[in-house]
Amino acid sequence: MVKPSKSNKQGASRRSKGAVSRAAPATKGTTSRRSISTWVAGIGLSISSYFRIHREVAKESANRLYQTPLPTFMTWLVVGVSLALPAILLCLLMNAQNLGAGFDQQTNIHLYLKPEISEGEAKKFAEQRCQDPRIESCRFISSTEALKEFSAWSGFADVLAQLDSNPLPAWVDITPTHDQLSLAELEALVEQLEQLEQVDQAQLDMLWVQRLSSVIDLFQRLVWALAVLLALAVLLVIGNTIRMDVENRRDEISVVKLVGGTTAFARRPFLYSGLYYGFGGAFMALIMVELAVLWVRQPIDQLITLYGSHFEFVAPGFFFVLGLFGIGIGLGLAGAWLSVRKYSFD
Amino acid sequence: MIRFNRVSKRYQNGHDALDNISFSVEQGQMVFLTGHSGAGKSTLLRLISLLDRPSAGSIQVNGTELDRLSGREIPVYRRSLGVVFQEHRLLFDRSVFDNVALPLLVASYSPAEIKRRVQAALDRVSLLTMESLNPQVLSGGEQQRVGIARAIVNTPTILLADEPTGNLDPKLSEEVMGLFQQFNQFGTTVLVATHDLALVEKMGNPRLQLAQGKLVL
Repeated sequence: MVKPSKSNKQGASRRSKGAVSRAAPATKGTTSRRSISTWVAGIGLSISSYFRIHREVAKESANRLYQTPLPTFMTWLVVGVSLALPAILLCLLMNAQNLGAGFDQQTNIHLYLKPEISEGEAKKFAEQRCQDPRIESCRFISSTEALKEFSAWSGFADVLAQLDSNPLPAWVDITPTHDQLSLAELEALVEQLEQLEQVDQAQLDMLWVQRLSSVIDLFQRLVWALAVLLALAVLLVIGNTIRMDVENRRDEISVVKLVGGTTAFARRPFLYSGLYYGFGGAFMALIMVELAVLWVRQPIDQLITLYGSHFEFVAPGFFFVLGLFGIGIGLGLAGAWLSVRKYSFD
Repeated sequence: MIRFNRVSKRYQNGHDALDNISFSVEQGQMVFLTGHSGAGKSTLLRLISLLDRPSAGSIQVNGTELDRLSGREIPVYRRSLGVVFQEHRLLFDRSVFDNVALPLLVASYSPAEIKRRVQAALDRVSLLTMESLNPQVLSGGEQQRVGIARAIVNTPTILLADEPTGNLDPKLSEEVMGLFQQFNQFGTTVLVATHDLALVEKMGNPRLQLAQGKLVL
């Protein structure tokens, strides 16, 4: 019987509770209270079903991307380019820093001696300098030796042979004890040496290192700014792709909610899609970075050989790759999260 | 058991869809909800399935006060209901089996249990042979039966149907109503909104009649 009523029917309520447990033996789907033992027994089951559900959703999301290969590939490419550009620049930057650091340790002071000083005096002068605790070693190079060395590596031997007199001064190559000296102390040492009467000019071979390091500094800031902007682009690209995906699957979302799916359940496939977009994009980026390294490797090695340096170009290593994938996946998940968060899924 | 106590629903545009409604449907009953379109039938069903909240009054379902349910509890509550729509609301990107399996999937049933229950549900609507087909290739009546299988696969205590025969010819309509009657005989409370008065008369079940948001019978 249906009766329009306002009265409270205790009996009916009790009857119906009994009927609920009979009609829904699966323990799922009732809002009635369950005993603690049921909960405890359920925990083991829910942990295994938690992983099973994730496995299934992961598979289903992957399948969806697989079924639309071209759009998926395009998204991967866009994400890949956005990740690869800062990654390649960062890779070059790291190498440039290595280069700077390598030279930092070898900075010598060049003391150019006045021409009127005889070779004997000059040698004695060089020995005296070595007694300074701030100086590790000194090497005297006479003007004749200097000319020989210069014509050997400059390639101007023929031209130099034509000269009537040697234009080069004698000089002392001083290696400071780098470990103990700060840059300021080094500069003070140079100034002090320059005051000596035998010295025409003292040169700390540091200026170009400083210049290089400030150029690297500037470059580094630019790379990071670019990286942040491109990360934002990745976030928006993935976010937008997922948003359209959500829009297209609105029916499914509302049916899932209607049959008792939680918001987390409805969101999960989209988060997995975001993860895949990020992972695929990072993979594309890795390929691009490797290709770029392959492309520049030979000319860089050649350049290094020409400069006679022992510097070695370092290709991206394990942690670089790990970081690339971490950032890709992180951005993918974050982008997906931003788009699903906007929908209430109710 | 469904109990409405002085329930009103006013939409944001000022339209009163339901106006001070009180009634109760007992456990194991099968009740028809009749009235013209716009009388508030769909609104009433939406309130029970918590797709909407009432503006005033309280609703009790299976002993639960619906306005006490928090957002997190709603999904679990909805699993105790089965809902059938006029427009089926099937998903055409998956098979009949997967459509019916959805309520079990969201409640994390094991694959073996899902298979067993889905096949049982499809068997009861006589569609077992079509489980691997896409619902798109089925006829209107068959699609509606898939929708019914999806609504009962979770063995809900309450089955709600919103114009389930709206798109079906009289013979199919009778078939679908026959199915509801069968489930009712197994103890499920059934509430069917319909404007097919002839069929309602023929079935002889109790009815709630709505007119302009008020209960008139």
